[in-house]
Amino acid sequence: MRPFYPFSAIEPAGMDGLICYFSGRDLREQNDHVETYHSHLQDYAPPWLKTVIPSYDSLLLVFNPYEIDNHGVYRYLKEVKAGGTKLRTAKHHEIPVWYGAPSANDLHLISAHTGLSHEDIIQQHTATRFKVFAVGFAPGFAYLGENPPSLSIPRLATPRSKVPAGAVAIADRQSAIYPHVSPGGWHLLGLCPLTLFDISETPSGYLQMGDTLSFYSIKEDDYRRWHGGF
Amino acid sequence: MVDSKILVVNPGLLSIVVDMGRTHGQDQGLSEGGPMDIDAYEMANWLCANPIHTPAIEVIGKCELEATARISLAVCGPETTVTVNQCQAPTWKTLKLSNGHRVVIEPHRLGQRAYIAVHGTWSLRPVAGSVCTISRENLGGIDGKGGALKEGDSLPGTFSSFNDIREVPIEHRPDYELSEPLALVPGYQEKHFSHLSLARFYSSAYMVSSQISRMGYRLKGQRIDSSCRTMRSEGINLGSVQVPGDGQPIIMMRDRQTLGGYPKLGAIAPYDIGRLAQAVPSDVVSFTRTDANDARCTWLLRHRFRSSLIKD
Repeated sequence: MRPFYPFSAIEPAGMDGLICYFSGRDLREQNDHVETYHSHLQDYAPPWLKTVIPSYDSLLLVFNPYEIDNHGVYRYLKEVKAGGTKLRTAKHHEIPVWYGAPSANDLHLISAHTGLSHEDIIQQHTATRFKVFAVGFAPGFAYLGENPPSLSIPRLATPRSKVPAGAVAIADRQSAIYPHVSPGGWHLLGLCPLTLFDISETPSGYLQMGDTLSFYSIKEDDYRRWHGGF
Repeated sequence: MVDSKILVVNPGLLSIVVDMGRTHGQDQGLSEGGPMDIDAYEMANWLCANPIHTPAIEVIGKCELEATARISLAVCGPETTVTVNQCQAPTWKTLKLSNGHRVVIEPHRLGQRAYIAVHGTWSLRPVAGSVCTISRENLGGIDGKGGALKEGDSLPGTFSSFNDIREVPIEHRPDYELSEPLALVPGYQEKHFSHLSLARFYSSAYMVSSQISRMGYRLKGQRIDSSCRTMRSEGINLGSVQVPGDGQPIIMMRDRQTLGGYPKLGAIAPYDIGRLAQAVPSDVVSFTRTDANDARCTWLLRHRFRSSLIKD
């Protein structure tokens, strides 16, 4: 389907879905567009909209095929005035990390790949201001960007079957914190003691798309106190 | 304590509570969930005079339940043997059970799913709008923590019988035959696959591997390649056909993750998801490229019967 500003492409995503990709000078600008449209769709959800899944530079719309077809959704996108939407006030978070915690420590591998010392890795990671570009993959899993190019590292050749909850990890130019124990292929920097997903809260995720955050280093004692002292 | 009238004597290989799943939590990373075979699920509820999206039990393997009062129950799915106190009983038809009656449900092919609905209301607390079981996320289900049914469980709710026997006419039962190709609506990154790869994909048969789950069905067959090297993760719709580096397609099912970064050919039309969901390892499937509008027309036509059920 022919795209128009601010979309760089609009493609079918199955019988009942459209996926829109946004244009922009850089990822931040593309991601800002995603956020604008997502906010608008949350505030003024058309009755045919079943699900909306925002990500880095794309927005997946799933519609009720009884009520509309993808041409109707295309026309809606053409006519909607999303630009004026007031965005949710983004929060800034300061996130404590016990860097080098034994259960989540790939500093030696990262060091071997990047040539940085452990101290330099921690220094560069804590000096970066991150933005939440997307939430997904698993409940409350926030994709944070972007790591400085000097910290860029590919995924592990063989993913781990078990990454501990709270593990802070990097892959390519992204960072993330695993909210729950899960499999994972990213390199681990340390552990964060915060609860990142609580289904009884609204919203359930601690980190929401558009939020910004920075990490700071804590010691093992601080981590244990925070975590309930065991 | 809730007034339960149904005991789990044997949950089979896996019995879980399902409903329509969590459409609204996907932007928080919550998996959608929902019944793998939606037609069988909805019709089982209709047979029990329930709203068609009432919770029901999705069963793999041989399962046995016991009624402790008069209840109406129905079983839907591909060929399944049902007995009530060792007497053969029909599927796709309302069954009346009395106190002490035992019902045994056994799909003929291991891995296929049967749906059991019961007349009445469940007293399960929804999590993010749904009681659907997602074990990986420890959400929903009989214990609210993603657990499956266990021997000795009693189904929480108020269940009873109603004064009618309903039956799904044969022509409205789903056709599970796999010789017809599955409809695939092209989209997503299709243009990044070469013509050769696409031609090979649509003219080949793929075998259902043993790596199948509520998350996804991994297929084995002709390798296909895309020119996508790096891709940003993006939203995955039900039935998306993604092709990782090994060139073997994976069809994303109900419990799929919300975002993923593998190139996708498009997505299987929703009306063919149940047919694929009832395939078992070493079954063979093939695909036909189907425009979104054609797929929607087919879907609307097939759902005329369902629409009449909703009005009930």
